[in-house]
Amino acid sequence: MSVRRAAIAGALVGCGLAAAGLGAGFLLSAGRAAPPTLPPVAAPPPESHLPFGPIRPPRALPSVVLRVDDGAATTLAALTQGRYTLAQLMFTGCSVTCPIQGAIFKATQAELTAEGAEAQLLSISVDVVGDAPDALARWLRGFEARTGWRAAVPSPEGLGPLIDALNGRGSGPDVHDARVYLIAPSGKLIFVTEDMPSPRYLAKLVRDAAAFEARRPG
Amino acid sequence: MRLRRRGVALVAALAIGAAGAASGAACVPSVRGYALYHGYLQLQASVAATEVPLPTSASRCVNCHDAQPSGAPRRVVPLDRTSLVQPVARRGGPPSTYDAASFCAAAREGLDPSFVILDRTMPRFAISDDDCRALWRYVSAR
Repeated sequence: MSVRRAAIAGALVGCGLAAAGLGAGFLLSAGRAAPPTLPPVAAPPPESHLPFGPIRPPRALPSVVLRVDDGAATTLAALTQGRYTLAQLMFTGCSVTCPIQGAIFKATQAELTAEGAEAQLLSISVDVVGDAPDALARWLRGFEARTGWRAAVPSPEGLGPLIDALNGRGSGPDVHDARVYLIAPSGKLIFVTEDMPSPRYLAKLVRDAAAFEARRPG
Repeated sequence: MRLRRRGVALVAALAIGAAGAASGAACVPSVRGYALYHGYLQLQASVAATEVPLPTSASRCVNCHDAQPSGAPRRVVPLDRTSLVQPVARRGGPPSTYDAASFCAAAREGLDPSFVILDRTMPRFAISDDDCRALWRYVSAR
């Protein structure tokens, strides 16, 4: 075969491969798993003037069993005890808000380090059926999560009470919201942000909470 | 030896031809628009009102605008001829239509044709005029 004929053949092969790739991509993207179904509301969340802001008095969270991204079983209380935690709701099969939420947490981890603010990040999956620890670990790796950013999935019976306590059902295009929850070292919820908060705001939130706690008498 | 040299030349020609065909296809606006929409070509984007950069895997249009119906209260509007070019009341504003200019303004600045701010779930794109025109051409013809 001459070089000219080979180039023409290559062009035809290239068009075919490109078409096949686009078609495969279309089929793959069309075949995503169905989003999880959240359990019905069991305990309506406390009334609040605004959908975001300080939680007064601090709200105790249910003692929920969690399976963490390394496969270990623990509880929300044990995981959050003794340190500030910024938590978000997500699931690994989510293509709408969760990729953006992951990017925000990735930038937040860098911001916390830069600002010297100490807090762990916790991504909590609402897909108790589909999200096993290895899926959570893969999701974290996709955002280059460093030490201090964990992902966990609650037990099926724990999901409803946790969602209700956080008032975390979505009002937008996802079954969960995109807010970030600040949990104090006591394990209680003390602040809820608006959807998609900026990393700089989250770092300031942690610093301000720690400073306020340090100034409290007794 | 001559056979081997011919083989190498043949493989090289095939590879160059294939790469050229793929690149050429990406220059065709309708193909380029498709590729941008589905994230096969990179788009620079950030989370609204923050400086958080978004990878293409997180910001591509197909993620939200072609999302399957879920139990969520609201569905992101599909981008097609009906939703973009027909007069539709959006976000409590008066009926409006998109054109290429207002589509690009929405993508870049997060303002719809009635100057209502888009939801913060919508990324803000740093998109070139050519790419935006290709994207508009694709979505407005769906």
